[in-house]
Amino acid sequence: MPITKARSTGCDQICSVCEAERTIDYASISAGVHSAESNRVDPNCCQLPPCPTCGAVEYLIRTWDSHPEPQSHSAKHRALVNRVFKVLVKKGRAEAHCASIYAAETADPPDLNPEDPDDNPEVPIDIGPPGHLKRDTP
Amino acid sequence: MSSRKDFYFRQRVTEAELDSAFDDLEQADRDLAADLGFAGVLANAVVSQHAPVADLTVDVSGPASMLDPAGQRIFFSALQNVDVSQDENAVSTAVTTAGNEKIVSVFAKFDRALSDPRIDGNSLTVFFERDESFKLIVAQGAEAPAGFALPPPLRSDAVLLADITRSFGQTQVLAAAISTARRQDAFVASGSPRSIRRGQVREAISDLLGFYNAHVSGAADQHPSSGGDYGGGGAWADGTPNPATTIEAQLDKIISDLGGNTGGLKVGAGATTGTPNSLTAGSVKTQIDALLGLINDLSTGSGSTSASTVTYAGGGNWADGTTNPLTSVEAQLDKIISDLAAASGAPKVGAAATSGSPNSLAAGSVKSQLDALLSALNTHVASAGAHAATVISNTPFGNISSTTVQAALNELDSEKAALGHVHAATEISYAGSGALGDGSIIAAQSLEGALDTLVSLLADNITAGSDGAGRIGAEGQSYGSAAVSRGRLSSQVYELLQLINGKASLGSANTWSQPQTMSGEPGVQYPSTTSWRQLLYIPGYTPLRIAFDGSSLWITINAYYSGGVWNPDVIGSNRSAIRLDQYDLYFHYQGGGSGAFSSWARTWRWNLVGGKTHPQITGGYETGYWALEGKNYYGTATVYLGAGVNFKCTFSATPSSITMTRDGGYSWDTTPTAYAAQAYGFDCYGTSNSIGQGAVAYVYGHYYAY
Repeated sequence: MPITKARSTGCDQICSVCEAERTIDYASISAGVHSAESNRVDPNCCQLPPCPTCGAVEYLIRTWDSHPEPQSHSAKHRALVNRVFKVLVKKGRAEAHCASIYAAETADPPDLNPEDPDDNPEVPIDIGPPGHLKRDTP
Repeated sequence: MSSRKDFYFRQRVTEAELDSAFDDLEQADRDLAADLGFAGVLANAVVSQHAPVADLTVDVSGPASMLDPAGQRIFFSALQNVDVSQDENAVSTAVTTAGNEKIVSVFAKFDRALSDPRIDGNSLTVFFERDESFKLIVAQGAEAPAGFALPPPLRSDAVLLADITRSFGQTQVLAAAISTARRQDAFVASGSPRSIRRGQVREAISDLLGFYNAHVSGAADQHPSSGGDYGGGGAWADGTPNPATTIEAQLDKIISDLGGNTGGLKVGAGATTGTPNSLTAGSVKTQIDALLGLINDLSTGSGSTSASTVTYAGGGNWADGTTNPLTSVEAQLDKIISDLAAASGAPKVGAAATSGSPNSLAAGSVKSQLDALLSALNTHVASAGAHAATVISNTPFGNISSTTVQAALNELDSEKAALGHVHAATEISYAGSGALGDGSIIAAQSLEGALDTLVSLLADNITAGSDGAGRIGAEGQSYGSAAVSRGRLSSQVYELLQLINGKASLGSANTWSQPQTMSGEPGVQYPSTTSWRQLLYIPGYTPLRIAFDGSSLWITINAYYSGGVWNPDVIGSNRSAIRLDQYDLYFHYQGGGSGAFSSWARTWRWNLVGGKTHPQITGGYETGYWALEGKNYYGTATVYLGAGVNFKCTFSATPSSITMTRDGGYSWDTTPTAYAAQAYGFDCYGTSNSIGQGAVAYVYGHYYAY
């Protein structure tokens, strides 16, 4: 259920279960998750709204290791997800318990898409869907 | 003069008679003042705010003298202080209502001071001394809104000194509240712009004299020009009249008349004598016009001094007889330039005879003397014996030291070499320039040394990579399909060896240094001979290759390595590969996209050395199963549970997307949260519905990781 485009106001997603496509506004999601029961936080996890078609729930994972094949689609997806996290934090969309963690960070993940969608709001950052979902890319 | 009493001898004078005599004198005194019209303040009696600290009293200056309307004299010497807070009837003068005011007046009144009491014959007391005295009286008007209060009326038996304005809450009478507008000075003459208020005749006359002197001297009080009359006068020179009007209007008319375009005609001007020109009587305008005419005549007319108007009377002829007749100076100057600038100019200029030897010039013109000079020069140049070599100088140079051309030729003939002679090679120099095939250069030296060096360089078979053959160039050669390229002889020998070694030799072991075609069409080119050595190639829609790149064995379908990238044989067809090296086994997959690619889209890697039981995947995705189940032991509550999910394969890097799908459950309707993901797996946790004590809830589903 990866994301395919990142925009200034939201991102596009294709469902890995039913392949339904939709646009998710940044105002509806937050960077980081918090478990009230265990009082644990994960600043590298972002929960997306359930798929309106099949109910599947995607979690975008911010990654801090390097992908061995930078030209592959999975590497591009990791870099775009890391960029979306950075945009969410910049727009104040950090989960309340994770905000201080982001504020204390001094470096970005190594795999980070170099473009900021706010720099060119008219043109989204488009990596397309992975090949196993649309079959038109490797 | 007063009426008189003529007391006579032995008369018994009564009291009434004596008093009548005083009365007559006193009445005469008062009548005199009344007849002269003297009434009012004669000196001082100026009302001012009390000093040093103002209060509700005022000061009246002295010594003061005045005459009341009846001619009675009022006098006091010292400064008087008058309380104006109450009037002559002891009634307060205070203003009772805010915003109101009232006028309080201070009067001086004649009085007598009685003294020296005596008892008369009737046993009555009589004051024998009855001196002139005074009283200062305060009267007040009615209270009214500010600006509408009326002052008390003037009195026939007293003299008004000042009016004072009382206001609500007032505690001090300041100078601003004291008015002398109604003060009864002896001489009051109102007018504009000047008025007089004085007490004595001398003062009033002095004021009048001051006003008059200021008027006469021009210091003040001048008549406005509009107020003076102009009685009319003579007409201007052009007859324009000047009728009667005011001074102001006449001055304006003069400026207007003279400032206008016809001003010059209005001002007359007398005749002016002069030679050769003079000016007749007229106006400024007519004389300016006459002067302008004279100036213009000097510029372009008969009196002009320009060259074109100055006459040239004519003169002598040029040397060739060309005449110079009467004309203007301008034309004559132009003619001189034209005559001399023309080709015939030189004959016009005369030239006197010039002596010389062997040639001389006869008298004539510049032209004739130039012709004579040219003829003499041509004769000289054309003559064979014009100059002997012995008289032509030579500058010594090199080995020639002679100083004349003749001697230098003789010296050169005596020192020249014989026709046949020999040079040793050591005496011939070699400049050094060209390079041999390997770039070697024979430096500048003697020819002997250069030849020795050349032989040494060509004979060299010891220096590796720089032998004699490497210094000789050769054309490219071909025979049949074999060819050697243009270059150094050593490189052609190398190419020949390559051609020889490139062919299989029977009866001896072959060393393969070039890719060999094991199957397929001859002439197939493979991109690399060092890092990609193809062992087998089977073409077709799914072309197969077996290759070795120096460290790994490759089996590829529809893919070969060239130019640093993988290339498909068939565009659009899937590409895959198996790679085996000493440490790992890989399975690669690339979809059917177009063009070259630098890395495989998906890779499964088994680490043989490490011995792991599962592969590591790059670029792929995984699906799997998850489940949570729990029991509530205490009351009605929700159950919070978590679990770890282990990926089937290890991702080469942490997946960036995990999708949780709930496939079913019991008393658990929510989808668990993915958490703490890494390359090996992730956590998930969730909360069941609220269930009763002892009840069980569970949920299950599948995940997707990419």
